[in-house]
Amino acid sequence: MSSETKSMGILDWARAIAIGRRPKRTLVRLVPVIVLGLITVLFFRFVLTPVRITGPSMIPTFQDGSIKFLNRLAYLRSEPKRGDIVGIRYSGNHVLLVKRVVGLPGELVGFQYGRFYVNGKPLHEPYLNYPCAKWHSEPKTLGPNEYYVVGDNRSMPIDFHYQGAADRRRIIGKILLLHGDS
Amino acid sequence: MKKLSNIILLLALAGLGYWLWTVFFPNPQQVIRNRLNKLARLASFSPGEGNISRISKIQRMGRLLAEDVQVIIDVPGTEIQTIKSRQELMQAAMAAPRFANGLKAEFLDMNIELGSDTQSAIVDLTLKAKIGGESDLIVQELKFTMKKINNDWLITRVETVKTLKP
Repeated sequence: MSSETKSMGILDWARAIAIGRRPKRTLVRLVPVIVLGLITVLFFRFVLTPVRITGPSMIPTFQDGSIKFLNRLAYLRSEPKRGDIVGIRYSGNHVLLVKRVVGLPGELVGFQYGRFYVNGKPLHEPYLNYPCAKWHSEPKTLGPNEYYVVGDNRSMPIDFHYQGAADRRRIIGKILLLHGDS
Repeated sequence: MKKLSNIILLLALAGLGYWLWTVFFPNPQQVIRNRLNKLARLASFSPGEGNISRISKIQRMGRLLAEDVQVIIDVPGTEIQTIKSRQELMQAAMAAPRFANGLKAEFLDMNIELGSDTQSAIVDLTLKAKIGGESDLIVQELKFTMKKINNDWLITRVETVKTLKP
């Protein structure tokens, strides 16, 4: 009998700690906190995903280690544009490539002496600091769903810089440019 | 109150039963996922790892591979490299500590597509690896082909995927 009284006491105590003496009031206070937490998690997972930049590929626009936000709704109603910095997925969304769109579907693109050419005309790229004159690639025509993407840091040999045509399905959002980004 | 307790107990038992079922009779996707995660763990090594531990890990790794496993590595900046047997792959794994001061590999975002006969599967995944002493991560999309051989899911082919087409 005494042990039952004791266990009831512990239960009451645990109940008071967990839900307070007035459960209804606790619930009313707790619901907005839970809803807000849920909205925050969903927002940062499906709308504005934080991305940590790793590696020098986007220098000088983005520094190694900086945090940016990927707008995942950017291309729901429109297509990527030239100059957009986009997130490109590998097999899933845990790791992304962050690159700049320089070529659009159907265009004839390629590098000549460090400059990027679109349909035979050089592309004006004011965001470049260190173009490498040795960058050269055979011109290729992009497919109907292909976007040519490349990083802003072109100081290294072309073979050491991961760039090329990305399928539209792999482009999952646009990086938001904040104050201080080029 | 007693009725509620009985319902809760019944639900808990059903949950436990389901969990035990998945442990003893896992679906092929789960088996494949576990095997690939195990491969990543066994391929990883720390800088001070002893030879005995390394040999043991590589032998266990060998049990995940088909005898005629093929590995095709085609990444920008290097020539295409191929490995054509389990023995060759195990030798390469054994030699890895000579070229790297530790390796931590993990497989992310596995997309498993079972064949119609459920005896084969194609897995698209992302390798994320960190070599000791180097600041940059290695990230590479890979495609694994697996087959059920003697009731065991074995890796028969590994190839790099070009996320961006050159």
